[in-house]
Amino acid sequence: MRTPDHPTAPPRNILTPSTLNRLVRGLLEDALPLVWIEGELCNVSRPASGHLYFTLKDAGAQVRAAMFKPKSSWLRFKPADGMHVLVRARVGLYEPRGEFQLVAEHMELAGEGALRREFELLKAKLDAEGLFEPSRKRPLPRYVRRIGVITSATGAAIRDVLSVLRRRWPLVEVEVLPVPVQGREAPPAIAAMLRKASASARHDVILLTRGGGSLEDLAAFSDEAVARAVHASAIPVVSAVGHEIDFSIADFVADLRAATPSAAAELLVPDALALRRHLGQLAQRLQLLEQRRLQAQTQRVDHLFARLQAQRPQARLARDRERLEQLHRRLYGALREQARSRANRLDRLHARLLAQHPRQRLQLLQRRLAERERSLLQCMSHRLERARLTLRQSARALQAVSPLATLERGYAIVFDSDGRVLRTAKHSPPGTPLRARLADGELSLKVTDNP
Amino acid sequence: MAKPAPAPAETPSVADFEHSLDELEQLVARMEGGELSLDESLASFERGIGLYRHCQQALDQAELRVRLLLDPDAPDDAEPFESES
Repeated sequence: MRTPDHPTAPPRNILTPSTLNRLVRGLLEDALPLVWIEGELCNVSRPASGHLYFTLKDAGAQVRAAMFKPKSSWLRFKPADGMHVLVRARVGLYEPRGEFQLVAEHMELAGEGALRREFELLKAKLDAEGLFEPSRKRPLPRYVRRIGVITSATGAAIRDVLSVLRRRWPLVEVEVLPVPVQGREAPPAIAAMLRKASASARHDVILLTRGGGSLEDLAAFSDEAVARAVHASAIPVVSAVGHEIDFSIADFVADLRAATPSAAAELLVPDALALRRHLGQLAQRLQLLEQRRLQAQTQRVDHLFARLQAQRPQARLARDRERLEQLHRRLYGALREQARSRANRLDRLHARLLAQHPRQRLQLLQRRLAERERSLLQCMSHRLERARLTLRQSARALQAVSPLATLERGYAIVFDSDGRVLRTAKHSPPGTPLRARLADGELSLKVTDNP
Repeated sequence: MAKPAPAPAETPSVADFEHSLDELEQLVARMEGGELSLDESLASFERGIGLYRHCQQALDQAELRVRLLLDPDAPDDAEPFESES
């Protein structure tokens, strides 16, 4: 017998809903980290939040699931009720409601998953065989002459390719090698066309292309037979399948992969506009070179002509004439120069001469003359004074001895008619006129008797 | 729009263009080397201008030739290809 409150029973571990749910959630997440589930979609809803809620079911059961932003916006298709999908999800629990649910990380259409798995398997296999070896990729010819385009004759891809080619490089020749690009008959048709094109050796390059589509649409280009035909092609193959994000096995095997048909066309041919520019530059260089060369030659000829001209007789004459005139000019110049220098010399001499004019000397002489005259006069007056003095002394002396003084004492002096003093009576016959000088005058006498 | 193309062997216009352009480039380089006589230089210049005109003309007159070839082994059966625009 058991009672609920048996004393030896372990203490009851009482949980709250919250702790229970957290516990269960932890258990679930630990036990089932990531699972792949395939099933049918129902109750799909995408509220304004952007999260996606749906239920996955099969004939016997269903499970709720959520896919949160941003993963919900990365889906490559629009989920709708009834779709068969493959989901990768964590198993979890929505704690507030205690509901078991999946949190989806990835979702794809169920068939696609199979295709993708096939794709990955084939890719790994071919890679291992060395079909993707970068070393076996061939370069494209610089100027492609004829392109074989393996594609649908009615698709968007051929339109895009032709439009780019027409714009960039209309010199190229295009052969459209029509093939179905999807469906079961596509892979063998594509592979056969690749083999035929390769064998025909008509083209410089093969473009294998189709426009975008679902993974299933593009499946023909991931077919093994197609891949092997690309690999076996004797002609370089460019592959452009779908859009940027799409890759096909053919892309990996091809010598060159382009993101889109248009991009492939751009890779295949040069740009006529750029080439035109290049051509223009070449022509310009050519013109310039020729022009320079001609200029150099012309200049050389001109130069020689000028030198030749310089040697003409007329030119020599002209040169001599000019030389003559120059000499003439120099001669006159020299003469003029000489005359001028003589005139200068004359002027200088004249000035010196003027400086020597007698007027100057005359004044000097006059001054000297005046001086001499003055000294002469002085000298003269001195002499006169002295003579006068001497005379006065002499006069006094004379006075002392003067006969006149004797006369005063009564004597007379007798002179003959000749004025001679008569010192003898002899020679004076009677009648001889004589003169007697007395102190106070003279008397005329006549001899009357002479014994 | 592509015009009906002539027989394939008739106008190797790309090859022609390519050769002309290569020759023109070599010719200009040779002239730039400056080791040509006057005669050679004049001849090269005329040839160069001719090549230039030829290339220009090729570009001016080129029209994309597109044909639909169902079987690469039977190129004579090719038909003009009209892509709907």
